[in-house]
Amino acid sequence: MAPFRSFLTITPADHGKEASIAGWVEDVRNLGGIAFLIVRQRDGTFQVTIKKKSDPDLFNRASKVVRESVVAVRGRIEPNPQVRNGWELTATALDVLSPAAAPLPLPIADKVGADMDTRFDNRPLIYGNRIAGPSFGCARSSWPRSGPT
Amino acid sequence: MRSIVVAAFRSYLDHQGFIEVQTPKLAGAGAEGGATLFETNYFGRRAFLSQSPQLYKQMLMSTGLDRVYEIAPAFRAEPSDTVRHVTEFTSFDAEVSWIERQEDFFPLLEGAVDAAIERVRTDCKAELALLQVEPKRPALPLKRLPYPEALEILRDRGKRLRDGDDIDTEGEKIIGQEMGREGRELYFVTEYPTAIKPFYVMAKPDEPEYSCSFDLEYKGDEMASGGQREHRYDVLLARMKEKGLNPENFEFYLKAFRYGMPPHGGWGFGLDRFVQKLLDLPNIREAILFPRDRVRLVP
Repeated sequence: MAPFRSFLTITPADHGKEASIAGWVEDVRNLGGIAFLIVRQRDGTFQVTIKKKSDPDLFNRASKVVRESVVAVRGRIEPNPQVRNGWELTATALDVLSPAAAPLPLPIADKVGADMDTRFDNRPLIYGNRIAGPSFGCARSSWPRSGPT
Repeated sequence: MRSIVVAAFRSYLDHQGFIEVQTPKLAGAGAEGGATLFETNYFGRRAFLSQSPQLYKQMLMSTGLDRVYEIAPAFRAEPSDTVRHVTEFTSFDAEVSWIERQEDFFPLLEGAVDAAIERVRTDCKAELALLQVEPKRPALPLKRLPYPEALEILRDRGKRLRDGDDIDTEGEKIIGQEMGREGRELYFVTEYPTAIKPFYVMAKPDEPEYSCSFDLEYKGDEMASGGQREHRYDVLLARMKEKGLNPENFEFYLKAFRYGMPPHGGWGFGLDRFVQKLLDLPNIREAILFPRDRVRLVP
């Protein structure tokens, strides 16, 4: 029943296999021949890798994704000891499910310096901020999660 | 037994990674249209008692809290004096992100309802014996009855309905009898016409005149309604305008859709009505300690 997986459910048994994972694009890094998307879910982030020479069109689209857009990425889980989680998703398809407007009304990945009214007016963005968000739920849930995400 | 039902819902959803939330009950805008809003004077400004946590639980989907539920009061200025309406009811609401279709979260609602029935059967044997009722656990998955098939059943039974008409209380009862003949007490009626659903409901991609929506029915009465929500900002804005709503009044809500909103869906479920039907109580008021209706404000 799970169309999009939680990145926490990826185990070494998935290495080399296809997966669809979705989340918010926290960062886009274009290094010329290779691009990385850091994609955030409720419990943390994972890395998506797109090589220009394997799919120039996908590479161009990925490089232009606005931060905080919601994307679904399909690709292969590849082990990589150098990245967080020990694996990355080598993308073969990218679907922008909900594009984010830019600029954001307040910084989301950094410590919030905005005043109280600005923060409360933009409450939905605050949880994404790792400083203020965790008061409402524990980031790493200890319970088993089945189904969507 | 009502307490056991609530405990079972909580326990089931907590184990599925949900977070329990509390959204405001004093509201500046209504979710389900203006007809049944209670208005109150808020330091000289107009405010309303919340009819539903709909808009707030959707906004939470943009935050990363991707599975939330709330069990809390909701208010409807419902003038009709029936055995299934009160003005203050307890609404069990949930919202789930990262779905592709409403079918993706149906097992969560089915699981919660089944868990509640199972807990009552196990923990409340003496109470059930006293009331002389034996609630039955449903066979899962529940039947999905698409709206056009529901219309067919009603037409066969002599109801005159046009395509696109809503199914009234009498129609619900007839379908309930029909499903009862198949041994089904709980079932979904799915894909209602888009025109009779609120603005936030997603239209079916292949047949936009029908929607990704459902009602959960129990013994011929509506327990829950819900569906997949429209998460695409542009489409949502267009739907609001079609429905004659002024987007400016919903800016606080729309803002959450501008900075990345996952596909999501969920339900609103009437706790009082469920307890009434579970225990075959003649009136919803019997399932509420201090019921509120058009004439009753105390105790």
